[in-house]
Amino acid sequence: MEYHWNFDVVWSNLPFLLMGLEYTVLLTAVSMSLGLMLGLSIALIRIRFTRIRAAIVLYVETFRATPLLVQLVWIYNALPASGLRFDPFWSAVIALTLNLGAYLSEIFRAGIISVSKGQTHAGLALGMTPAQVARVVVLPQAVRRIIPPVASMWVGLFKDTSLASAIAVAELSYRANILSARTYRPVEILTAVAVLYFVITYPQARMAHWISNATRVRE
Amino acid sequence: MTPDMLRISDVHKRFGTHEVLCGVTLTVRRGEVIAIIGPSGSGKSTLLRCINGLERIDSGDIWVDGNSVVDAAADLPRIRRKIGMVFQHFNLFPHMSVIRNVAVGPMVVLRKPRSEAYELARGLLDRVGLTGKEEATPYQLSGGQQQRVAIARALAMEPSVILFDEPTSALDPELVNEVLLVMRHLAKQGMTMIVVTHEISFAEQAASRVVMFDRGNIVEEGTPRQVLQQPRQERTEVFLRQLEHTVDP
Amino acid sequence: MSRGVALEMFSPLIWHQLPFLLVGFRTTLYVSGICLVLATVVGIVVALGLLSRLFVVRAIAGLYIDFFRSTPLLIQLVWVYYALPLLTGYSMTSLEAGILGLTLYEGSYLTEIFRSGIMSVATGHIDAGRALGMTSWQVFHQIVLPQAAVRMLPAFTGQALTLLKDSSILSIIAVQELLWQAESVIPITLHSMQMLTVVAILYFAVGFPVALLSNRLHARWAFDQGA
Repeated sequence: MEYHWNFDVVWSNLPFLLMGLEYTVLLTAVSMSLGLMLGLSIALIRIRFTRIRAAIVLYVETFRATPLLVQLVWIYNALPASGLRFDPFWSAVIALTLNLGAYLSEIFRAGIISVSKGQTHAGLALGMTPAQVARVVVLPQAVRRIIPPVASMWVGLFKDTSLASAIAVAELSYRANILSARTYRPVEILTAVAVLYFVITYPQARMAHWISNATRVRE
Repeated sequence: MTPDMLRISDVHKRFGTHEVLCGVTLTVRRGEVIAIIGPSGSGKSTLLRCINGLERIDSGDIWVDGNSVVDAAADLPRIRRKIGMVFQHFNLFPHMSVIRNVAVGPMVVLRKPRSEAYELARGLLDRVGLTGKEEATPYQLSGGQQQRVAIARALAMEPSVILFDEPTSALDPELVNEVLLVMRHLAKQGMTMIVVTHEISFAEQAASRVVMFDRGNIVEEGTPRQVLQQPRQERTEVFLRQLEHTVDP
Repeated sequence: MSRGVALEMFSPLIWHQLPFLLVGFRTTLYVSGICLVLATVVGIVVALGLLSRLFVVRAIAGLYIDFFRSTPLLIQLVWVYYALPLLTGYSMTSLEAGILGLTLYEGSYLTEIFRSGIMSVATGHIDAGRALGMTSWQVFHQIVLPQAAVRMLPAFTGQALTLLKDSSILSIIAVQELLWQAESVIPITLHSMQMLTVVAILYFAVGFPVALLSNRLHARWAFDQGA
């Protein structure tokens, strides 16, 4: 059976789809920024305040062992119940941030721990406070080991934003589905969107891969 | 200004069930150079790390220049400013240039302006014989050079006492002397120094007092002549004889 | 959670719906299991393709990986379910589409894991095998495969966990797995939080042990994936 391709429906709706891409990028950038702050805070708190370690581990393991989609839907439903704002975009941001925070805190923690204790001792011996040691000595060295996995997470996050379509965030995937249904031409629309994702994601993936190799730690 | 720079009194420390320091008592006067010798695992390095609070002691007291290290708690950073430390593995900051390594203490801890700190650092690097290496990174230097930078880094804080934890043990033999030279200079200039070392020559020539340490406590102490040439304790004798066999003529 | 909501957790309504949810959970496990097996096969085949001496084979394998890893699973699933039937003329159930899509997606990640595992076996061992007179196939079978298998176990376990979590995305094309079941029940019971919490707990109950296993394996066989 021959299928007759006709991409007119894509061209005429391109602005609509590109707006979705904008939301995708926005969602990724905002969630990653907040997620980085959250992840770093948690990693530092976990190292400093060993008493609430259990609570932190619970948070981290829960968000890593359950699907992101479930987290998105859960939070989307939970927010109205707590009386907070329920704009889908921000629900998605919250869910993505919490999810990212869990993964990033582990990445930060591993990076921080990888800096040898002697470095910390040297900083303390000079009379630095633990905070100063973290800021001046440890973190700059940890960053080298943290960047590759974070770059990887960015690429993953970019694709994961597609799940926000399930809670009606008007990003690219959501618009792709709406459009397919509206125009009855899922083949062209979905193929075009797949290509669009590929064209944006693939270069980023290669860059992340390059970063991984370039910052291979040479001791 | 008390003449006693450092007072260690009846210090005990346990790691798990193993008692590493068993009632150590030692007094160090201003300007003294103490060489601590003894077999590995005797607790010498641990003692050093207890002096500047990198390790916490279980009982006893440690006083540095009138301040109790034990009671310091949150004030420990302030006390540590006056206690310099040079580590066996240098522990230079690899992500900083040599001059920044030396200047970072005064800048971050003493809040000196960058120009002043760098000026100070340049002077110190000159003092340890490393003029021209300011912009190098630690990786580009030999072990001996790195350790001299580490000494300059400690000096930048203008400490009252400097602790040396086996400063030449990680160095290739031909690089040991350049470091010992700097240390001998410091001693001559009147710096109070506590040096854990295997370099008997240094102990003989630069130390004002030698302390023999074994199994968590002081076995004997005295002038270099007394301890190294006419040891009273058998353990000291045995240890010195063992060292003789491993030292190149 | 407010106290009122917490008390409702134990209301009879939950217990009433639980069997229904468990049916979905069973589908989740079943789909995950099938896809894991199929994706493993795909992964091995494509990994060997990547290591082939023929450029064309390597290129195709590379393209497969690049494409399937640079587009979201959601889009792939939707494409397989809605677009593919129009192109081929063969209709598909959502379950079939889901399994196909998930298999191809996870297969691309497993390919990389298998390839790294195979490449990590020191060439010295391979040379030794050849020197003993083994054929290429024997070398692969006796020397490379056993060692590679052990080295990729940690990453493989991690990917299996990812696969389990990704199976929840099949709910979007109406595969009746756990999340779908919960969502279909919510309008009836109006107890969204309880249902979704039970869903999370069920995933956690399987996911956490697998994560622990993966961690333990990673710790024992620290292996750099980046090669």
